[in-house]
Amino acid sequence: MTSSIVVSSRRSTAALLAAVLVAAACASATSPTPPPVGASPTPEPTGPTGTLTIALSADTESMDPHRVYQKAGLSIMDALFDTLIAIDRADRSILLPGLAETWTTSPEAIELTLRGGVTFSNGEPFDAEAARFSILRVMDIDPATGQPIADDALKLNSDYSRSYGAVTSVEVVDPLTLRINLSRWDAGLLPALATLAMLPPEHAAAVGNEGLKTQPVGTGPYVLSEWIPDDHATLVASDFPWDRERGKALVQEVIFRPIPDVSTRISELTSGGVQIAQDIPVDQAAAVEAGGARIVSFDDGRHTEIWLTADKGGQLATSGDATPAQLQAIEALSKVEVRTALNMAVDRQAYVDALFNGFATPMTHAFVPGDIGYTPVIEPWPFDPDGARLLLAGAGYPDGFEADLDVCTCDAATSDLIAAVQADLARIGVRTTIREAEIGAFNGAWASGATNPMRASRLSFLDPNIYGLFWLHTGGLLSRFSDPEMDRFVDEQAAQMDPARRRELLHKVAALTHDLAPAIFLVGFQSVYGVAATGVTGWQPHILGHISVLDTAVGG
Amino acid sequence: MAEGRGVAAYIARRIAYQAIVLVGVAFLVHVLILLSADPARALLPPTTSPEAVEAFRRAQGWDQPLPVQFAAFLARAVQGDFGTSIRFGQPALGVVLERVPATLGLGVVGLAVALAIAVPLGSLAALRRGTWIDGAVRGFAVLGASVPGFVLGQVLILVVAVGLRALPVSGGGSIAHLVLPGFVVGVASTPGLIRILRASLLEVYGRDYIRTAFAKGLSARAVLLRHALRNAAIPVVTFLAFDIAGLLSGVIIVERVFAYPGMGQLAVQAISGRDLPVIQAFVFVTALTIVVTNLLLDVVYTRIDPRIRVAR
Repeated sequence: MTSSIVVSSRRSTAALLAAVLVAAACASATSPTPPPVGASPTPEPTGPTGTLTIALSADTESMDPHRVYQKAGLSIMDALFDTLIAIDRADRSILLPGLAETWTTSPEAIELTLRGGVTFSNGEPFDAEAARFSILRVMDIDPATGQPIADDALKLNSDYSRSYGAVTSVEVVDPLTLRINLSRWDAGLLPALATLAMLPPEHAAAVGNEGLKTQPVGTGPYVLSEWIPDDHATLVASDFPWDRERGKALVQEVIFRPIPDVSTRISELTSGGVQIAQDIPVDQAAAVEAGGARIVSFDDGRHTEIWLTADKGGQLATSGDATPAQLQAIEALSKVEVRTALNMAVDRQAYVDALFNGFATPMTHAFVPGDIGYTPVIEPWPFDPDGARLLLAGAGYPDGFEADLDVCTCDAATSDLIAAVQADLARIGVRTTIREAEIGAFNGAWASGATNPMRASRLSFLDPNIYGLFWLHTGGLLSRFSDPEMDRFVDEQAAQMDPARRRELLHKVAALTHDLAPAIFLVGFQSVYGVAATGVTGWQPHILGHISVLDTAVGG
Repeated sequence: MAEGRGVAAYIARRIAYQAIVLVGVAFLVHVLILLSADPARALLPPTTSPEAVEAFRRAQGWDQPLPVQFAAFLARAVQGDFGTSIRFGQPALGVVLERVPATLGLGVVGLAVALAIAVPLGSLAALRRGTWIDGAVRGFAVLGASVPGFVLGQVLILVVAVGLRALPVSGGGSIAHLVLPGFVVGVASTPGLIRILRASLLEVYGRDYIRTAFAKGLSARAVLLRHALRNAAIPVVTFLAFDIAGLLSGVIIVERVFAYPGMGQLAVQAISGRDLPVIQAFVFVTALTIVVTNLLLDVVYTRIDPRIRVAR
C-alpha cells in the first residue's frame, strides 16, 4: 500500500528515490484519479511542441500564487511555479521531491536539501534564501527581522498562513539547505509545503505585493507570455527546464481561457476550440459525450455534511436569545442516538443517483475517497427511516423536533441536496427551517456562539490537519463537538511522524466520526472534465482538483 | 446674445444636476456594498482570526463612520483615484478604462446591427401600415423582445460557431469575435427601435410637408429617405440615448455568454471577488457614460429643436 514519503534522517537519497518509485508503482494500481487519457505520450527529443488550450470555469484571482485558492487559478499556478515538495497527481499521500531533493524530519525541525542550479524565469537563482522568503511571506513575517510584519497594510493575509502554526523560524543553513524549526511536529506541514509556490525575493522586493498580482516569476515549467484578464493567459515552456518528478512539460504553449458560461465551455470543447474543459456539470456530461468528447471524473475530496451542535450547547451555543425550539433542538442533538437517527434518515444513494447522475459518492464518515484518513471498511448507515424514528422515540423525541439549518448563499450549487435532506428529515419528524446567510454572516454566526443547531458545511482539505479536523476537536475553530477520545486521536495523529501509524490513527478518527455522528455526512463530490476525443494524450486529473498540464501532449 | 446666455446657464444647470446624480449614485453604491456584507469578512479567508479581520478593516479604513468613509472616497474620486484594485493591485479606474474599448466595440457593432435591422423593418411597417407585412414586423419585434440574450447567444453559438464553424465560439481580440455578441446586443435594442421608428414615421407621414413632397412628384423612396426618415429620427435618437443603460446591462450578460473580456465581465468578477474599488470605478464610469449621453442629448435638443424651451 502507498504511504507518505517522510524521509527519516537515516535515509539516503537513493533510498528515497527507490521509495518514491515503489510508491508511484503502488499508486498506479490504486490511484483514486483515473488513468491518463489516450496513449502515454513519448517525449519528443526536440523539446515541447504544439499548443494546448484549456477552458477554465473562471479566471485566476491573481497571478500571485500566495493569493490564489480556487482550482481555476491553481491550474495556472501549477504551470508557472514549483514547490519544495510535490504531490503525486494521482494520490495525495505520495510526496515527491520538488525544489527540495530530500528532506529529513524530526519533532524539532524539517531540514530540506534543495536542488542546485535552478533559476527563476528572471534569472534569479533559486536557493535557501528564496525558499525562506517564500515561507515567511505567507506567514506575514518580515524576512529581514524574522518578526511579524507590524504594518497591517503590508500584510498578505494569505489563506496559506494557517498551515504554518507550528513553524517557529526558518533558517538558511547554507545556500542549498533550509531548516524549518518547529514548536511541535505537524503532519500537515509537508503536504502544506507541496502547495506553497516559491517566489524570487529580488523580484518580489522590486514589484511589491501589488506588482506580484500581475507579474508572476517562478521556476515553473512554464512562464507567462501574455495575460488578458477574463480572456486568456498564454504560457510558454520555460527555457530553464529541469527534471521534475511531478511531470514534464511536453507542450510548447498552453492557453488558459476563462469561460464562465458552461454551455459556451462545452461548445468550445465540441467545436475544437479547447482540448480540456474544467467543471462540466453532472447533468451536461451526456451532452459532452454526445458532442464527441470524453468525460473524465474522479472523487476530488470536496464533500458536504451538516454539522450538528453536539456539545449540549456547552461552550458555543450560548446566545441568550435562544428560543425554546432552538434549546430543544440543541438538547436533542447532544444525544448520539438522535444524531445517528438523522444519519439513517437521509437517502444518500438517491442523492447520488438523482441529483448527481452518479458523479458523487455517499459518505460513511468524515473522510471521502482520496483523503489520507479515508477507509472503505466502515459500513454505511442504512437508509432506514423507520429505524430512525424508533431511535428518536427511544431518545425521548417520538414526535421529532424543530431545528434551524444554516446554509451559506455561497453554496447555491448544493441547494437541491439540502432541500432533499430537509425532506428526508421531515419524514422522521425533524422539521428543519433553512436559514440562508451570506458567507461572512454564515461563518460569523456559527463562530460567535449564536444558537444554531445545524449548519451545512462544504469542505475539502489537502491534509486532515489543514482545515480538516478543526471542527471535531474540543474548542477547535468553529467546533461544536467535544469528545475526549476524539480529541486524543486527533491530537495524536497530528503529532505522529510515522505515516503508517498516522493513517491508523486517522482511521480511528474516521470510525469515531461514524459512531458519534457529529454531523450528517452526506456525499463526496467528483470533479468532472471534458476532454477532446483525439489530439490530447497523457492528461490525467490532478488529485488536488486543479488542472496540471505536465505529461500532457497534443497532436497525434 | 441674451438667448446665448440663457442656453449657457441652462447647460450649466444641467451639468450641476448631473453631477448631483453622479454623487448620489456613488453614495448609493458605497452604502449598498457595505450593507450587503462585511467586506473584510468576505475578503479574508473564513478562518482568519477576529483580530486580523479588525486589523484589515482598519487598514482599509472601514472602521470609520460611513459619512467619513464616503467623504474620503469622494475627495479621492474627484481626482480620479478610486483606490487600488484588490485583484490586480493597480489603480481601479485604469483597470476599468482598459476594458472600455472592448465594450465600446461591442456597443458600436450592436448599434449598427440594431439600426441595420430596425430602420428597414420599421420603415416597411410604417409604409405598409395595416398589411400583413406590418403585422409580421411587429410580431418579429415582440419575438425579439421576448428572447433573452443568453438564449439567443447560445443558439447562435450552436448554429453558427459549432455547426457551421463560421465564427469563433467565444473570446475576444479580433473582429470575428465581435460578430456574434454584437449581433445579440443589437437584437436586444431592435424591437423598441422598430416600434419607435414606425410610430414616428406614421406621424411624420401625416404632415403637410410630406404631402407637399408627394405632390411635387417625388417617389415614395425619395420621400422616405430625404424627408420622412430625417424628421422621424429625433425620437429615435432620443430612444437610443436612453437605451444606453439597457444596452450596457445587456452587454454584461452577453459578455459572460461569449466569455468576452469587456467591462461587464470585469464587473461580474469584481462583484464576486468583492473588489470594491473596481466596483466603484465601474459604476462611476457607467453612470458617467449615461449622464454624459443625457447631457449631450439636452444640448443637442436646444440646437436642433428651438421649440424646446430653455425654461427656468
